[in-house]
Amino acid sequence: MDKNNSKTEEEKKVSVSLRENEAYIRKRCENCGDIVIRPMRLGKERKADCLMVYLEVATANMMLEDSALGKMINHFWEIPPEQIREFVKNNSLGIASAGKLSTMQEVFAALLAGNAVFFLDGFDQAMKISSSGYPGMGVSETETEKVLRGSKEGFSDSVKINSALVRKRLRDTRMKVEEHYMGVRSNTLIHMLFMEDLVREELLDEIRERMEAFQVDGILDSGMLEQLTEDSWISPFPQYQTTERPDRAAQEILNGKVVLLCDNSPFALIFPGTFSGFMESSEDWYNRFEMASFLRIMRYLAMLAATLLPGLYLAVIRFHTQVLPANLILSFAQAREGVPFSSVAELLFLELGFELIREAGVHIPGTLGNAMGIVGGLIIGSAAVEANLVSPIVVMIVAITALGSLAIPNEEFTSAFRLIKYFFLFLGGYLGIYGMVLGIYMVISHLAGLLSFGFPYLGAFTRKNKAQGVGDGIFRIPFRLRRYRPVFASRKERIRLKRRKQ
Amino acid sequence: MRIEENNRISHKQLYFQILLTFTSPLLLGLFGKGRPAGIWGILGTAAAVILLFLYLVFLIRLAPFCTNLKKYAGTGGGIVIALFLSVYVILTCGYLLHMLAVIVPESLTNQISGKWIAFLAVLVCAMGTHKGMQRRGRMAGASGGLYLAAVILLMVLTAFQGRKDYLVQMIEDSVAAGLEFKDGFYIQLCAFSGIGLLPFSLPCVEKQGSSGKVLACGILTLGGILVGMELLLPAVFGWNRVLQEEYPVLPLLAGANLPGNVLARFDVIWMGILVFGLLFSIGSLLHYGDQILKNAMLGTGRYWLAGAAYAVSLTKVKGLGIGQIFEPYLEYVFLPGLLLLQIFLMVRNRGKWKKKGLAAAGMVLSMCLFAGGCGGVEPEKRIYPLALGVDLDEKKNYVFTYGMPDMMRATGQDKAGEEGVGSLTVSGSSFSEIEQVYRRSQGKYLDLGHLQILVLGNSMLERENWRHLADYLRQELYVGENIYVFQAESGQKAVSWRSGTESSLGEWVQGIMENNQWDRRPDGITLRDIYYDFYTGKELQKLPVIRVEGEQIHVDFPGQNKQEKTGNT
Repeated sequence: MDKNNSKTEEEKKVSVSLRENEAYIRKRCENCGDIVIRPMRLGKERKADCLMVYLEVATANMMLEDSALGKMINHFWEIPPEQIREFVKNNSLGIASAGKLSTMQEVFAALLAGNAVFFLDGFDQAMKISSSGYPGMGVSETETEKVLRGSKEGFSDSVKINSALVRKRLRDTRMKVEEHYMGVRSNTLIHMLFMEDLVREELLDEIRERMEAFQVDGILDSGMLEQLTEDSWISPFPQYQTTERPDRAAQEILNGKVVLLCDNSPFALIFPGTFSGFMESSEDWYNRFEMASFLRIMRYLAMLAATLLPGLYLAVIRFHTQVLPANLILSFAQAREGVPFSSVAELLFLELGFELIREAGVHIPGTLGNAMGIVGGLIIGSAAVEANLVSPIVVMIVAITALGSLAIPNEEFTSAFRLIKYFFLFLGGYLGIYGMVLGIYMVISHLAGLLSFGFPYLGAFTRKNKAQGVGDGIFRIPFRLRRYRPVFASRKERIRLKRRKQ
Repeated sequence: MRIEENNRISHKQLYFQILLTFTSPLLLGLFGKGRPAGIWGILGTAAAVILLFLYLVFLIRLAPFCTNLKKYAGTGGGIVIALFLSVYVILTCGYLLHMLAVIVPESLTNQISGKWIAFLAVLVCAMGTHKGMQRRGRMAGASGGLYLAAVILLMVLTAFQGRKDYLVQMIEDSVAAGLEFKDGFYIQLCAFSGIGLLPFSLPCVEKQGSSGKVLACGILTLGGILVGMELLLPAVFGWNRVLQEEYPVLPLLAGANLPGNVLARFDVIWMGILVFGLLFSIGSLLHYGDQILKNAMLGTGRYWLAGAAYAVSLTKVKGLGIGQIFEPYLEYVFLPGLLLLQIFLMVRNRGKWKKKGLAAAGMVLSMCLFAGGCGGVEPEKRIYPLALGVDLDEKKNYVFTYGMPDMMRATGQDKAGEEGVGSLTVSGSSFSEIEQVYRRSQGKYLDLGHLQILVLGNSMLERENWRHLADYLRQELYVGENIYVFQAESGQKAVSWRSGTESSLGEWVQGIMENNQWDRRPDGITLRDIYYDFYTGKELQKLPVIRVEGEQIHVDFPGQNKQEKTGNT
């Protein structure tokens, strides 16, 4: 029954009778205090009945003199009603961004997207008049992907601004922006950006199918979309690359990948995602290749430290002390003298403590958050050592682990390693190196089986064919040698860089 | 999935799969007590590798018929082949699990029982084995290069410890021992018999027509590693030790010294690499077992294969476990049976292949028939003797004196704790009694992993008492083989001496041995040299002598006139 009703509503056409349209709108907008329904009489003798519907905050300013709508209404005061109908019908109100709406479904979609809708008695269509839309932040600096070299612009909460930021970098009509809506109640606008001739059609079909596969109440952030549409929802490893940077999104579109922008989210989703992609920073391609390669190697080492160091430390001091030089193990032993907890508990407490500091730092505003990190790290760590609750070496291990995790450029990817670190901590602490080898085998096995939209997650390291001139491995090849696009791009458009014939 | 790959693996992935699957089991299983070694072992390996090249041709031609056993071998034939191979998978997995259960407690940690180790291994390896060939291919692709590089690097590092005279002795002794070529050759073939499962993976390989080259490369690399190890082991340990140790590959890096002093020992890393290879082998076997059952339309082996393999690793019938029966099974059951079944499969589908394959198969068969004959201990709850003095008292009791470091001096930390006791003396009629006495009287775990010197009292050198000590120490998991050995009038007295500058006698002596320029360094005798004498049955070589005179200590090195070092308290 409900289904039939909603179907009828979807198909309900805009009536010629203004009264009927007004009644319908008033019924649907009952108790919606933020929606303004304003009947008007325009024309020389005030005989043309009109109706303006808009969201108060999103559209109120339009009524001002200097807005297009304000000028139009002023114009309508002075002309006969017949001319008004003629004007609306033929000139679309004379406003560039106006559009005609035939059904109530379109009317409400336009209204709730922050536009004003104009009805005229005797005319069976409504006019959408674009406005500044919902209030939101403008373009601001990226928070989580800071770079030394490269654009400072970051995505904002508005999907349209975000699309424009990418378009600003790729001024080519072959870059398509496909609109989708998700969420039965949120009706969230999602933009799918891709380069028409570079993308594999199967990728687009796949994501369209996946977005259609679920009926969900609301999509409030790209993270929700990500979890609904990824291949393996149980894996801690993200299968979509996320970015806050328009230049990174543009770069990936040129690689033949697809970018999803979700309204109200400053994070773009890029797919397919690969392990090596997560370890890349957007400035890798802006810096010289020697330094960029060195930094990439450092990131991989940081990743190993962030994951394995606590487990290795425990394995060595609890099982294989012979590995360390005598003076070092004696120092460790002396430093732990009087600590009441086992080394596993000691390291676990401190790691969890650091996670708390990190979490607190995120929620505490601005500079206070940074201060919290310093206070937590220095004062609490130092006090814990003074009180003999932990040994100094463990503070160092936790600090190096934390630094390692911060050096990985992608936060979602880091989280996966932060989690499996605890798994390795227990394996190393209770099974020694044998446990570590078991864990490494498991992680490699898991990653080898992981796919992102059909592409192997470990693709760059396990590719089947030689792929020179792509530059997606650990080393960043010189820019002049980066001649080919990666495997994600259409095979017809493999060449990315070539020298012009003289 | 629209863009899923074509479920095929690349040549590179196949190559690394071969290496990862075979290297660790062969390194651990092919060397040691009762195995062919020496010059005949090397020749046997080389011959086996050559024969395997021919066998590969046969396997490549057999591959299409392994995709659907029911279709190509008939219902009954398919079931027999699948069951035969499944038994092999279970027994081999069981054997590898048994191997893990033995070597990990023996060489990595003795604080976890073998049963647990095997259980955890099978649990981890069973995960995802049913999820397609590509997954295993990618695993091999991601880790194979690192694994191979690590094995070769560690072998190269070990080569610097090798001695030419040991190698010459190996050649002379193995020639004198007579012809073992036939046995060595056949055992090598048996060890490689797992290659017989390749036809089940080949249909999943891209460009199958040219995969022969890759397989040959894989076999050649493996052969190279094995021949390298055949040379390396006797060169490092001496011929007799290789023949008597159960797994001589394990302590290969126990005596390695590397520059930089970042890590004192590398044997743990070496063990980690070997264990990773074993885990990969078990995972591969379980994967192929599942694949074989599916190809014969017998369902999946997803979990029960792993369970059966674990049960096999634990089971003993009349005192015989998988460790004892696996080798005869390979020699007398699996290898002949596998060849017969493969030839049956070929003959049954003879219209679909050419004469070359038959010739190769016949050759392989005839050659084979001819040959057929948890819980760790915290660092502060351990004591770390850096020197060990061993004497024999009048009552013929062994007296062990552990020289402890001065913690304040060694660490530079003034944290209040138990002060170093200087030295600790424990005596007993046997080594095990000394261990028991220590455990009863001391609250801390005795960690011998950092011993730097061993001082034998003169009494230990009489009547070959040192042999008992060597036999005891070689079984000690944590004692490295690079520790220096000295003799003294009294081991106890020497070890109890405290230096005015160093934290212990161990550090002081090690400083003498290592802190001089290369050309001025005295020739020390290490525990590995003592083991060499022990295994060869030779007299103990002349040891450097430590003399304690009042507050002064002197070290005299044999064969170096007046190369005497003196220290003051």
